[in-house]
Amino acid sequence: MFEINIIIVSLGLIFATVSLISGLQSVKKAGIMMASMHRLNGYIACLIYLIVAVLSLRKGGDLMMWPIIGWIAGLTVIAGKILSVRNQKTYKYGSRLGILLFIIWLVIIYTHVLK
Amino acid sequence: MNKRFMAAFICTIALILETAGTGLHAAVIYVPDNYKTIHDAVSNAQPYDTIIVHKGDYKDNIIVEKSITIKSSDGFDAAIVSALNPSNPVFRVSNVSGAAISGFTITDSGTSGIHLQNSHNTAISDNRIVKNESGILLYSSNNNTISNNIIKSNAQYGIYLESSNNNTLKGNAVDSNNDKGIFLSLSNHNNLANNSASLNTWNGIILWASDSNTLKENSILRNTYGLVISDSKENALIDNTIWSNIYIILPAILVYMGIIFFFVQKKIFSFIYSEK
Repeated sequence: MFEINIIIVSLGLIFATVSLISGLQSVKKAGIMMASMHRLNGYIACLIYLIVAVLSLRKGGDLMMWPIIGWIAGLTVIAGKILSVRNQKTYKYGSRLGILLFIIWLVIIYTHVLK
Repeated sequence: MNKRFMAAFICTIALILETAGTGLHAAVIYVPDNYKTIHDAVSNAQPYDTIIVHKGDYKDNIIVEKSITIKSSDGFDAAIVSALNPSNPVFRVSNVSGAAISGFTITDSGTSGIHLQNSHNTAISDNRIVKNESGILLYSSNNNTISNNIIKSNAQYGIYLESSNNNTLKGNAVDSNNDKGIFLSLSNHNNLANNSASLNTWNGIILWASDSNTLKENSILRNTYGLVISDSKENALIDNTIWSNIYIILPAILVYMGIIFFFVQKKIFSFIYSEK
């Protein structure tokens, strides 16, 4: 019953939460420590996202178009988030994309654990 | 000496009665070697014959009305039987005593994978019954054994018993069905042991107007309602594991763990960066 997917997805949501909080904290108060924390948690969450995507697509057997599109769309949001915080012009959209990523993790929890 | 002679005589009589009762000349029929379809093999089989089905995808609605054994040679991954006419069960066992169905993937029926009607002493084992309206239905059928089946992703019930008594449900995985996992209605003295009834949309196991059943060491996890007992009495519940659904709880727990982990991580990082 407790498949490895459930544990990995759960870890993903935990790291996404920590990443969101540290990201919001680093916007509120500029500091190298919070930025480092945010970067570390963000990259771990991104790595877990990729693992979950691979496990999910492998579990499904035949590669279906819509799941692949869904996972790529999520990956695009992650890439957009990283690019936006690195560019001063788009920096202000970083927190919105961060919240969107957190919502994506909730959707992943719903579709891969609860459903 | 006299006692030895009597013992040998009794054994010989018992052997004669046994072979006469079970059919000494029971044949083994192979599908698709002897018959192309399982239905044809069943139609031409005599009572106590065994039908062995080799690897392949079969489209069939099989009606079993005699005491025969139908089993696959290579397990349920190899022998897949889907309903030819989706408005009928894949296997329908009617008015039979002592039939057996084993080792198939049974799918695509708009009614049920296996339907037992007034049938007794039947063994249903080691099947994978998926994507039917219901998995296994028993109506007025007693003393049957349903064991080690995987019954999942059916639109309604995993296993449904109505007016069926003294049946044994053992070691089945009845998971992810879209209504109820195991449903006993007006059924008494049944024994449910070591089954898994998890992730079903509504109830894991429900007893309705069913008395004196024994539920032992079943795992009933993450259904909307785990175990429901209604209008039923004298049922024995022994060492069952029941865990409620976590539809709302799990994300909340994970977010809470995330918040705690944030403070822990902040403490660790503040040591590294010497920040307050």
